[in-house]
Amino acid sequence: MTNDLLRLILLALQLGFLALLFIVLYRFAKALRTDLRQAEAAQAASRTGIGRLVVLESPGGEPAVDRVLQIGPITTIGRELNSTIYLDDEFASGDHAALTFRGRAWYVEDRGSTNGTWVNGHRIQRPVALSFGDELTVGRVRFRLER
Amino acid sequence: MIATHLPRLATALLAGFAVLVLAMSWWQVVMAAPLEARPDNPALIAAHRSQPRGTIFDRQGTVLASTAVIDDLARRTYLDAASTHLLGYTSLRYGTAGVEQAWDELLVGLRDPNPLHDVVNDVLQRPPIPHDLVLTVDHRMQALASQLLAGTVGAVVALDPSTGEVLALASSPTFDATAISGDPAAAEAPWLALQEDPNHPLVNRALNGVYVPGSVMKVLTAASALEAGVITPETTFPTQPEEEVNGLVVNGFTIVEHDLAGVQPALWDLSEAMQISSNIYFAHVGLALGQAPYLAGAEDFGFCDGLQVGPRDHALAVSASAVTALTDAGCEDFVDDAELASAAFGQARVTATPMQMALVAATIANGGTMVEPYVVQEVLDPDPAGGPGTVAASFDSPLRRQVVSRTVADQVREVMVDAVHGPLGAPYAGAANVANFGIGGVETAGKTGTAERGEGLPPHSWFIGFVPAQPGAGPAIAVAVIVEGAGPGSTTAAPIGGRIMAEWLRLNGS
Amino acid sequence: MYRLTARRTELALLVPILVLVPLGVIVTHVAQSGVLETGPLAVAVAFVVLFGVAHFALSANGHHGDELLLPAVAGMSAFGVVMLNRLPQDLAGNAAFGLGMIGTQMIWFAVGLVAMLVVAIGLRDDGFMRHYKYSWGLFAAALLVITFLFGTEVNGARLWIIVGPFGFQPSEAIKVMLVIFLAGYLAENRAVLAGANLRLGPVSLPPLPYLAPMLVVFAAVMLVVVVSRDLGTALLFFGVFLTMLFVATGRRAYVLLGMVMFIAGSAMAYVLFPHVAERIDVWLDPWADPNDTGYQAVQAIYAFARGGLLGEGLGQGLPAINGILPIPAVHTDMIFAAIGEELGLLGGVALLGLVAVVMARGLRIAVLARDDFSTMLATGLAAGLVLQSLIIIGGNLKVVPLTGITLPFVSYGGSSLLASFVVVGLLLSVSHRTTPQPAPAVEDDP
Repeated sequence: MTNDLLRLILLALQLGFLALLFIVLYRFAKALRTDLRQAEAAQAASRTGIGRLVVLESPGGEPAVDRVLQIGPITTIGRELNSTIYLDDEFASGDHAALTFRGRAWYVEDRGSTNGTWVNGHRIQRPVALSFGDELTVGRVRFRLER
Repeated sequence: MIATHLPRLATALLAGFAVLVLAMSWWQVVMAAPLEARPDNPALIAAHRSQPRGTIFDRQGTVLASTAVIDDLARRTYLDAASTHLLGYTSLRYGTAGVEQAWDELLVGLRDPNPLHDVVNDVLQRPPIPHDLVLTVDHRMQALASQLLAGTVGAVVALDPSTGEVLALASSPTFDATAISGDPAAAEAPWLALQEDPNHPLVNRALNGVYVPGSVMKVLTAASALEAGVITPETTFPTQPEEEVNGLVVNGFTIVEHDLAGVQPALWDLSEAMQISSNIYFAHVGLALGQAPYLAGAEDFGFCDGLQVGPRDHALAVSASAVTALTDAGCEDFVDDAELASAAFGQARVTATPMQMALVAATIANGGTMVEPYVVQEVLDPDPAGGPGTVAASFDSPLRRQVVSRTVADQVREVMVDAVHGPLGAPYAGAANVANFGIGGVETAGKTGTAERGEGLPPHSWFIGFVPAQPGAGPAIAVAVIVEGAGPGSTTAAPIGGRIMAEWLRLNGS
Repeated sequence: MYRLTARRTELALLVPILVLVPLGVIVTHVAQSGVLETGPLAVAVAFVVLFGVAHFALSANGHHGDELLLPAVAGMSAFGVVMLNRLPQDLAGNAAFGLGMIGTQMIWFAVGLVAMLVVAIGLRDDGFMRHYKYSWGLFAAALLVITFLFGTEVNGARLWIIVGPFGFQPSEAIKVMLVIFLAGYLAENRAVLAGANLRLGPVSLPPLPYLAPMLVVFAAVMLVVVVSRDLGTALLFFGVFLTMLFVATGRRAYVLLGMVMFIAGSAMAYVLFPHVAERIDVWLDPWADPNDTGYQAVQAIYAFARGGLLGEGLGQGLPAINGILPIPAVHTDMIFAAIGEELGLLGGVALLGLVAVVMARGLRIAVLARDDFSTMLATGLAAGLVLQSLIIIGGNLKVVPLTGITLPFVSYGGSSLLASFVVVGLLLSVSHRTTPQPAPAVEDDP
């Protein structure tokens, strides 16, 4: 009979193990759901645009390093004050470059600048498509395009 | 945007998860039971290989089969070859047969006769507990039947007509089941020899041999016709004496009488026709009854469908006996009256197993009530101390039913007694009279059969009968005996039947 | 100490899993020996300490990487530790150090978790990955060739490099390198690959010059993998490649074309390589030769059938036949069959649920990543873990041909464990860089 008692305890423990497994899964499901709600809320709050530029390097201090610039579908970059993004950098031309969002991708074109527009260390000769994460250099200012 | 493709990827991967869950459900729920029953299931093989198997006892407590586990290998030993076809064998390589197969789960202990215990054992994962079986057969009867059949090809079935107990069941030639039930490597040679033997010793003729019954079928014909009221024991057919000589023409087909051995044809009634075994008389009886009623009567006795021995979930299967050709729905219709006339005396396309014919005899003996046979009477829980176990479950006949009225059964019984004791019958079925074997004061009922098999083949020798058959005596035993190709029933099968019936009466104090 | 809600959630999810392991270890011990003892708890304590330390290290560093990934991986690991502890210890292990199977595996858990922490916390910048993609690709190919030339053959496949008492399977590391290469390449050329300007009948392809470098590296890898008979890895690499290509371009045509190529390639391999033909024949009908080639597959199916809905019970499955466990490689490739037998359909579904959590979090990290390289990297790494699990579980269940790859975090094997934890570390690091810095904690004020 003690043998049977041990078997009974064992059975209870085995079922307990299975039950605990599903408690774990339930908690995961709950955490996933909570997270989804928060993500939706966060997304709604930050639904600001289609991309952003992170300033990686800026010797002139304008824009400041680590600033995050939200950008619209047509964004011009240059030393002219009415550029969408104003650069305080003597190596940049007045109307230096333009970023345009066409279809599903960002494109950058050089607007006849003196020192050229560089993507990932290569000077561009014609408008090129950008990927998120690409590094864009205008004058001495270095940006990274992010979502 | 990349991000838009990720949900589609997630959907595709989730479909993969769903497929896996479905596959798991398939193997673990849907296919679990069929897989567990597969003979190559390693759990079953392991259980069989090293697990003790229950002992099988006869009704007297004689051990017929027992198991010893030597070096992790369970070795099954059988007392002798007399009960081989009833018990079967338990080969790790070639499977199981007979009672060993039908009661396998209980013998091994994978199941308990009590469903509640079954659930508890399963839940607590207790190791299997082998159960012992007690059979209804008597080893002394088995030994006698086997001895009487030795050297022949045939079968004996003996039943207790009132309880359905199988008292003896033997098939010949037999073989040593021990040789193929132990070490699987050592089993190969004897197994191959058995398979190549032209007499097919692996076949259990008592349950699965289907034979032309010949004249023993006349018992059924008479019972059906009496039950339907188309004849009485006094019925005669005026044209019959003349047709005994010239033949009876039905649908252009001439039915001729067998050799009457010098007896002059006369206007016979039922008793005389049964004694002399007149084919012409019984052809008339069949025609009087008609095609559909004849089929219905035979079906009432169990023809046209597989019989079973024992409870449904542990049944030994009996091959179907047939009046015409068998279809899924039973026997098809007779072709014409010529076939009906021949079937009425057990020829044409009629086939029957020895078990079926024993059941016909037992039904008449038991006043028209058929008691379905069974062979395992008790399942025992094993005694941990090694002594006789306690009874875990008892069984009796799965089904009883009235096939013909008591009046009709009595009328048939009387003509079967005449067939043994009467002046015309004695030269034939008289050989089965138990008085010949030292039992006095008892009337024997019986009928011989000489089943013609066509040109050049010696006929099968049949006998069915029962004792005691005098009015008011409760019957003790009914038998069916067949010896293949042994000629007239009176010379071979009838004395075997008489000897077996006499032995049972002697063992029970007559 | 718990400034971050993320790490608090992580701990809350870890706690029941850390209870699961001691419980499982005790249950299997009682089931097998029939006595209630505390000795076998050492393994469980080691497990709790290891994952506990990993959690506190992330927490102390203010890591705000994904909070569900570590618990999900711990859950998968719990299955592995409980099963490996329960199996006969002489199945594997490092005899040179006198360690049994579970001892060796626990050492690898420690090594793996340390590697995960180093990658998750130490990796501040991913430039060394994104800028040297070709180096990673070539390195992967070179490692593969070295293995093929100098490797040691185990079970008919040359997959091991053995140095003294240590052996490791380079294919696990190659998997990670290949994902880094593909992520870098696809992030750079995504726009070109997504637009089609070469038409080939009904299929439009991007200009070949853009596709060629990737196809060359990839084809070289596949060739070596197939020749070295590592079929599971070949299938896995191909699956990861197609997944990443699809996510980068969104074009189903690539996937369809890839599948057609794969089926054609498989058909060719069936004709050319007898070992491929044998695997596929067994998959189509394991019962054709149940005692030899089909033995493993047939025994796995019987194990699942024995398990049923609730399982035979932890520690009570896998009946030994003549003292031999019924399923070959039950501690590695076939461990899911053992889980299916002892924990039943429900246990198997629970494990799949944890894999699904890993998938959900991996793809979430990919979606939230700020740049294409991070997105592609996270996609590839997560898809690698998930596809590997699906392929080997599917192989156990006879859904796909059975191949020799491990079930991540569950199967025995150091290389697999180390590589899988590095993958988790990379995912955590991507996630950490993505999540915005929270406001400074109150405790920091004087």
